[in-house]
Amino acid sequence: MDSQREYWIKNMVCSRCLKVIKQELEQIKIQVISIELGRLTVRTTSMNDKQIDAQIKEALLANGFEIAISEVEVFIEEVKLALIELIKELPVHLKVKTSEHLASKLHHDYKSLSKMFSKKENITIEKYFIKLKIERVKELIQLQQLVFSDIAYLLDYSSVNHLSRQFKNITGLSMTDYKNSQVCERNFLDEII
Amino acid sequence: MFIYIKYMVSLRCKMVVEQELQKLGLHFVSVDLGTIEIVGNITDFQREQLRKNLKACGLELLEDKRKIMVEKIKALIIEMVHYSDESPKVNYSDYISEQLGYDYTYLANTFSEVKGITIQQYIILNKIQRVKQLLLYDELNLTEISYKLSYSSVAHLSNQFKNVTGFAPSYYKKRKKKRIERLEDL
Repeated sequence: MDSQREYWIKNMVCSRCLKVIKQELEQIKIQVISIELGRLTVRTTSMNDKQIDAQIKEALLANGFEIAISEVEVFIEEVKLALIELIKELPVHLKVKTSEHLASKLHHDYKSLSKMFSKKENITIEKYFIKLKIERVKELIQLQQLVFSDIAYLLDYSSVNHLSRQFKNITGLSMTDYKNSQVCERNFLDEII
Repeated sequence: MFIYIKYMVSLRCKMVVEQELQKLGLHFVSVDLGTIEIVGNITDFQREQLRKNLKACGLELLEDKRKIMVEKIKALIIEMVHYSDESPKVNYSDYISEQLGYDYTYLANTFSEVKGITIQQYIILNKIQRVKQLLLYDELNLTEISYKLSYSSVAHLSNQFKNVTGFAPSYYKKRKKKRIERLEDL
């Protein structure tokens, strides 16, 4: 009995997620055929589909992942991954609007994407993207290598004022206060909503 | 001590970093996004190893930029005090900030924070070391030494010398000489 199963996985954000999942599945003797952010393909020889579903689900849950079941969930995951991808490499330069970028990347109408997203996650795509960017800003502030205006430039803000206003709006702290506070409160990228 | 790591974003990053620390036998107080605190200090070898392992996971260990800068300042001061025959014509502060291309206030603050003494104190310590050397060589008298190291007067030099070492220069010279003679007698 040789079968392949494909899963869509929620909450994956970085290459460490891939590593952890691989390790976990190796431990329970499940062969991984391919794994990328959001998607996992495995092959099994000894178990039936139900067993393997249950095992994988357990392994994922233990590490804070979930399996996306409905089509809507898959779309939302794809939107999130596309946005995370956007701010991964610095400097960020958005040549097209985020809405257009998402629409072309996912081959889907932005309007319906945005509706889906807002309904399911209770936050708009736009706001989600801002939160993502602010998390990235927090990281850059914490590392203390760049001045604020450089950070603003790297993340494609029109000015440092714009960034600092947005930062204060989201976190409740000004950037300077955040920098000077001893504990840097950062959130996991998959838990910012 | 604290170690800073780039690109940490999720719970899984934390798990991976914890694993890597355990592999190297490093005990940690806490692992948070971007910062980890470990018990005691980390050797250069361990740091290098950790850097390699983290890199394989797509993470980056942050070089301590401030430490590098402090090393540069130290090298410059040692060069200035010990190896140049003429002191620079300008202020030390101007000279240092000009050589390194940073504002002196910034450099001085960084230095004090990392080393726990000010640049000025560090320069004085080095100058006194140089004075000790020159005293032992016995080629120059104290007036000449004070001139060479651009002190305004002998009194200034001997005051500073006494402040740092606890002895007057002449007494220090005598004592050292005696000790050397005794060693030669053996």
